[in-house]
Amino acid sequence: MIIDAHIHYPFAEYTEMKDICEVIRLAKKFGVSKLFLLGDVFRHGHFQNEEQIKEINDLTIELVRKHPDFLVGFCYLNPSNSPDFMIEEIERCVIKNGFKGLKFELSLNCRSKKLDAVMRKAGELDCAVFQHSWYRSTGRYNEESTPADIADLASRFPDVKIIMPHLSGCGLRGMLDIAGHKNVYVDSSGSQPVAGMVEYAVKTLGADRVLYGSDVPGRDFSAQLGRIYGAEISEKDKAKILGLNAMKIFNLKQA
Amino acid sequence: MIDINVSFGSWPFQRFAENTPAKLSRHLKHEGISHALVSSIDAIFYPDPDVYNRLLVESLKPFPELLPVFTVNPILSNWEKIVDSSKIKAVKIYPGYHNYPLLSDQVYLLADKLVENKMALMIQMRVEDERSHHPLCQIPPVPVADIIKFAKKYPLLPVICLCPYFAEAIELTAAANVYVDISYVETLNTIARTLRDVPAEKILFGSHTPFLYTRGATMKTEYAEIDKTTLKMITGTNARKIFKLK
Repeated sequence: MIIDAHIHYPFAEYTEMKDICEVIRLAKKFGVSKLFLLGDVFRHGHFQNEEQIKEINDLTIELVRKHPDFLVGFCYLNPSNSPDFMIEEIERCVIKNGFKGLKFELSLNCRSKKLDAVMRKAGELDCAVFQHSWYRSTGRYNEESTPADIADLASRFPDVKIIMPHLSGCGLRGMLDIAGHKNVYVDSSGSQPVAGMVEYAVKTLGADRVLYGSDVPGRDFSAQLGRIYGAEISEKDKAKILGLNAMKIFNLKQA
Repeated sequence: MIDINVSFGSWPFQRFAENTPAKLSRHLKHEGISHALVSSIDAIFYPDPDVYNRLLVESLKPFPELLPVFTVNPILSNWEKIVDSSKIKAVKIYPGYHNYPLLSDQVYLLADKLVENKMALMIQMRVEDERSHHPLCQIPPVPVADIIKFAKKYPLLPVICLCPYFAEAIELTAAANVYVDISYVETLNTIARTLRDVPAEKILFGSHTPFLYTRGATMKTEYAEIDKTTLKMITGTNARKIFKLK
């Protein structure tokens, strides 16, 4: 069983509704049985207003309704929006539509106290939070969070599960940053399948804190699964990373 | 399967499991790779790459399936000697790491010599994703526009670009004599999608081992939705032809 904990839609040339069927077809070919849909996070730029956020989540809701056995929805938010709106949006996505967590991207650094209301709500609903992160030596975006910022968020909300995407982008430094925060997990996406990163993550964080994620459609299932299959770790650890951890963290039932 | 993009040696920013020629040989065989073109990683930073070219030849001797590719720095005076001593019909350059523009007289002299010797030129466009470089060691990629201009100036010289991104690969292969490896080419359904814009004879299997997981590249071809003839071209026939391998 493989769960891909990190895909987006639409992206690049995959802009039509029918294209999600192609993504699902390819996922199935690689043995993937569930895709976590983190939303169209770049639609309308990095700083979406409330209407734009609703539009992004509407699309995720529509897609999940069409493919309920395969797609798992995540509520995309810009934490700069009003707390009341965000709480309403979380309730709409999580309570009414069965989404499994929240997703924050580049709109606000996660050290900001503006996240507190939504983090408290996430804790109340037992929702995990995906917070974009990267150590970018080419210069970071204004509000982009680093793994050190995620460590700060994790220490403020130790009871909320936080997923730090982009193993290769966060690098060894990023894993060291979050190692002491047991409520933070890393997903294996980000950049090319840089050798040794998965082994380092397992050694530093433990296999229970690593999730497989591809970042499709910007990436491919082949290369991104290749980094898990190619890693020199035990088969038991690979099984955890490829799906067992996601099942447990997100309280998913096996089909 | 022939892998045209393999390296061996030490790198300050990564630890490699394949840290002896024997381990590299075993690893590649395990991944289904029968032959590999291998260059020295140490030759990238060491002031005279030929020192490490020679060490590479010695260390790979017990492994005939690992074919040494010499690193050349055309701004050093020994470039011609290195070209003439190469047994493989290609040499590799690192314009970014060796800090010279591709469109320069030194590289033109190298190109003339390679054409005369009926050899190919391998250009390492990048070694790592630029976003993850050490902040004090940021090496720019080789510009696509420069490669195209250079290739057009030398239509008889096969130019093999290593580690281009998907969009770069499409742009580069518009030039008649430019080829690309698949190590950094990635998009959904990578090979089938790339073939929509790049002719099969321009695509070569390359894994960028040991920097990347070899499996990332082998799975691209293993799961490629293409016919067997095209797959054979990408994983062997094209390389045999370009590098004149037996």
